[in-house]
Parts: sequence; C-alpha cells; structure tokens
Amino acid sequence: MTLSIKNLCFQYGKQTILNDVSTTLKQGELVCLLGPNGSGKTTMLNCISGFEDDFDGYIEIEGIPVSKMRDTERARRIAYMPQKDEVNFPFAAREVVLMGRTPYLGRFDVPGDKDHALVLAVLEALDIQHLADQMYHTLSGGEKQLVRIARGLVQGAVFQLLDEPTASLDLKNEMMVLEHISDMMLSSSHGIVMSTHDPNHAFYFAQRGVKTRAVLLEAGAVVSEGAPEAVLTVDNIRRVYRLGTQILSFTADGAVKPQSHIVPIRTERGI
Amino acid sequence: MSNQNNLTNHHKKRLRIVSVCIALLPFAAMLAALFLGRYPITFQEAIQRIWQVLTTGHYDVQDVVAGIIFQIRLPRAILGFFVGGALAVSGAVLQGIFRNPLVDAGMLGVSNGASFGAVLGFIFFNGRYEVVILLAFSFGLLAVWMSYHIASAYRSTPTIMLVLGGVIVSSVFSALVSFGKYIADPYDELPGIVFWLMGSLANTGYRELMIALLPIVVSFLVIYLMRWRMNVLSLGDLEAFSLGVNIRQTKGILIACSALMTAAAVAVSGTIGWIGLVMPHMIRMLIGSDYRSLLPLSFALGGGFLVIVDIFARSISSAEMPIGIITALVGAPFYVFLLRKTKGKNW
Repeated sequence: MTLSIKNLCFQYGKQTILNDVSTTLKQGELVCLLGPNGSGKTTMLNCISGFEDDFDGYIEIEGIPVSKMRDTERARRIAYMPQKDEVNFPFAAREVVLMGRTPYLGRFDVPGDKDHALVLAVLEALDIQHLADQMYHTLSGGEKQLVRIARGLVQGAVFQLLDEPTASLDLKNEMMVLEHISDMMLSSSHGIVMSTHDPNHAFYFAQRGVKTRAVLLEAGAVVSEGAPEAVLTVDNIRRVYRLGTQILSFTADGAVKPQSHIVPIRTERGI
Repeated sequence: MSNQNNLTNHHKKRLRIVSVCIALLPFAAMLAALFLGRYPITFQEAIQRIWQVLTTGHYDVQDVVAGIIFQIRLPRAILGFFVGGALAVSGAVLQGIFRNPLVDAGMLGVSNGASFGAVLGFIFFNGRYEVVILLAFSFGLLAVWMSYHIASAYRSTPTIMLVLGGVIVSSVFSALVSFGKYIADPYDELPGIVFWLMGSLANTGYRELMIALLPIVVSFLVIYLMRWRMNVLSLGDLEAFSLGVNIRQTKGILIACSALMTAAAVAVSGTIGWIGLVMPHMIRMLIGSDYRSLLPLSFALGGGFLVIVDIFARSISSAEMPIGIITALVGAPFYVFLLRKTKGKNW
C-alpha cells in the first residue's frame, strides 16, 4: 500500500503553514520528518491523519482520498500518535491499549475477549506486560510512549504517524522508543512517518537496516528528501537550521557498517 | 510478582464489593422511603403491604397505610431515584466531555433556563403544575439550544465555546428569574417560586413520574450505549479521532442526551444542585473513570442519595424542607471526607 501526498497546501488564516508538499509513504518504509520548530511537521501529520481536512491538494491511499473514507475505515489504515498526550483520567495501561480496537467495534459495542487477548499478546511482544494493570497517568514518559506504541499496533493500521515520539524523554527512554520503532519496522511491514528534532534518528534507523527516508521541511516546503546521507548534509542543515555542524562517522560495538552522526558546532547568529 | 498479583486481586475484590454496595443503595433507600416519614408506619406494616401487593396484585383502597405507601411515598421515591440518577449521569458525561471537574448540566444553561420557565408558569398560569413542568422543560432545552447557537458562531473548539455560550445564556436567564421574582406577587406567587428554585419533590406523584421517566430512561440508554466511545474520548480529540470516533457527532449526541435528561429532572423537581457536580466525582474516586461502570454507578449513587435526602426533607420538620439545602449540607462534609481519604487521586 502507498500513501501519497500531492500538492498539499494548508493555511491558517492568512498564514501559509504548508506550501505545495508532495511525497509518498510506502509500506515497509520509514520517513523521518525533520525541520525546525514551526516548519509544519505537526500540521502535516494532522493533515495526513485526516484531522485537519481544510487543506488543498490530495492525500490518498491507493487512489482513495483519506477524507472520503469513513471514520473507522480510515482508522484501520492510519494510526496517529500525537505528541501531546491528553489522558487526564485514570485508566489502566491495558485499557488505554484496548482503545486501539475501537475502529473494529460498532458505534455501541464494547471490546470483547478477542480484543483483550490481542492486547495481552501485543504487551507481551513489546515486553511491557508488567505495565498492564498500572494506571496510565502514573507511568513515566518512556513507559507511556511504549503503551501508546502498543495501542498503535493493536489498532492494526498499516500507516503509523508518530509526532516526536522521543520528545522530552531521557537518553535511555529515547533509545528504548527508537529500538521499539525499528523492531516494529523490521518485524512487519508498516509505513511510518515520524517527526523528530534529532537528524541522527534517521541515521540510527538506516543503520538498523530499516528502509529509511528523510524529508526535510523548511517553512512548510520540502527542501530535500531521500536517503538520510543525501538529505542530512552539512549544507542542508546550515540552510534550514542556520546551524554549523560536522558529520562524524563511527562504528557502534557489534555493528557491521559505520553510522553517521551529526554534531552541532555553532549557531549562525544574526543571519 | 505473585505478591503484586495478590494485591491487585485484593484491590479488584474490594472494588467489586464497593460497586455492589453502591448498586444496592437505591433499592435500600427506596424501601426505607416507604416506612420513614411524618406519618408513622412501621417496617413490618410496610413489608406486609408490599407483600400483599406482590402476591395479590392490589391493595385495600380503604387502607390508609397502603394508600400512603403506594400513592404518595412509592412514586415519590421512584421519581427521586430517576431525578438524582439523571442529574449525576449528566454531570459525569459533561465533566468527561469538557474535561473539567467543575462542570455540570447547570453550565449549559439548563437549570437557569428551566427556572425561568417555571417562574413564567407561576406568574402567568397561577403555578398550575402541568404548565410549570412543561414550561420548565421547554425553557431548559431552549437554553441549551441558545448556548449551542452562540457556540457555533465560532468555528474553533466548539466545546469550549459551548461553555462560554452556557455562561452567557445562564446569566441572562438568571437575570430574568430575578426580574420574575421582583414582579411576582409577594403573597401568592413568590413563595411558590422560591420553593421551586430550591428544589423539592413535594407533591409529586405518578403524573410527574410519567412525564420525567421517558426522557430520562431513553437518554440514559443512549449514553450508556456509547460508554466505550466515551472512554476513547478521554484520550483527547486528536487521538479519539485517529481511533475512528466521529468527535463532533459523538459529543453532540452525548450533550443532547445530558440536556434532555436534566431538563426532564429539573422540570419535575426544581433546581437541585450539588448532585450532578459531586456524585460522579465520588464514583471516580471510589471506582475509577471507566464509563462502563461510572455511568450506571453514578446513576445508582445519585438516585440513592436523592431518595435519602428526600426522606430527610419530608421528615425533619412538619413543613417540607427544600432539597437543595440538605444536599449541600449533607453532601459537602462527606465529599471533603472522601477527598481527604482518597487524596483525590483519580482526578
């Protein structure tokens, strides 16, 4: 399956947020969406998910516009994990994951035994079954993200949109989330769009053997897209972030190939 | 690990016991309502009359005790149960939708709208009961409709605008109620208005029950059918949407049902505060926020509580006390107690 975005434009009032964005997301491929704050990453994900429907252009899965799909039909194909987590009522983690089954339930239905069994299976697969009965709002940031990833899996959508899934996580939790995302890519054929502030994430996924593409946004337009090495160059990053960087190459313990790593050196102030 | 399992099993067992107690509360309360009151009826006498009706299907018309039980106390107790349940459930639903613990149906303008309708009934129709009920019900719904209309003038985040619309409409109707009190005849009309505004189940019977029952039961059933969708809504609009929930439609149906059941409740009982605000919190603190149990248990607790309060209202003094006074006086300390005990952890 392919999700194609053609000539996507989005305006908020008179301000242009997205300006003629075109790209595709294939099953089995991970797109790292990069760009400075305010470059339109979240808006783009909101549009793809169907939540923002006031855009110009086309967002289609296999030729069918996402906006024309019924709510549940769309939800079986596209899962979305927004950056901000708004759960402020006490629910057990197990129940938060269970909510992923909603697109398969009738309007008045309640999840049944099969749904519960699937939740347990997914929690075990992610090795977080110990969180099942804990209250979601008491979990740490990293645990919450894992629970939300589990929900995305239970939702069974091919396309997964992740808005900065590692934002505000500590080093270890960040790595844990990245590992789970690459495991997900390697074990089944999802198509993932993940927005992030760290270009090194793209290099990490590529090194893990995930088919990775980087898309670099600036002021709502695609500056460059393609293989991480081709997109995340010193020149491109200087242009988009106004930041001087150096790209190092290292070979992690046990890895076969060397991996690139972007190190920020200094900002270009006043430019 | 097994220790933790024991702990959660123990916890689940405790939750089940508390749930069963809450579910039984309204039945105990309604039974008590039959033999408690100003007219002395003993427990045995009550049980005997109930047994008679259950076995033979009718009671002795000459029997004063049976008359009081079945013509006065029973319909009043059942009505109290449905009114209290409706207020609590609509509070639970609206607090969930607006993600705000301080919300109840009064916020949408229902109570003030209904109050104004009742005031009109007292001033222009001599307080004829059917007219007061009908006007209260209509104006309650009219107020919500107006709030909704004000809210839909703005395109962004309609639920927040609905709160704002509700505040505006509420204050307008509140001013109109004051105006009505100001021009009402202080001897004929004003006492009725004031008593109605403080909420009471006095002089209610099967007639009021028949009026209020249908909207309350139907609304509750629709809300209960959507219990899982309500759980999903707790994730926030964006995530609920991505799980295939039609946010606008779902919230619209839920708000409409809450308004309908509140309008029906307020129309027959006047404005009874506190129940819609606090009963759902108590359930959240005791049981949790899963709407599959929150909705029926809120109904049970709200209904049971109102029946008990009504027993006090008609027993404490020879004249009936307005219910609103007692709900606050009894409910507030209990709520504080619960808040301290659970440390409000489920909010």
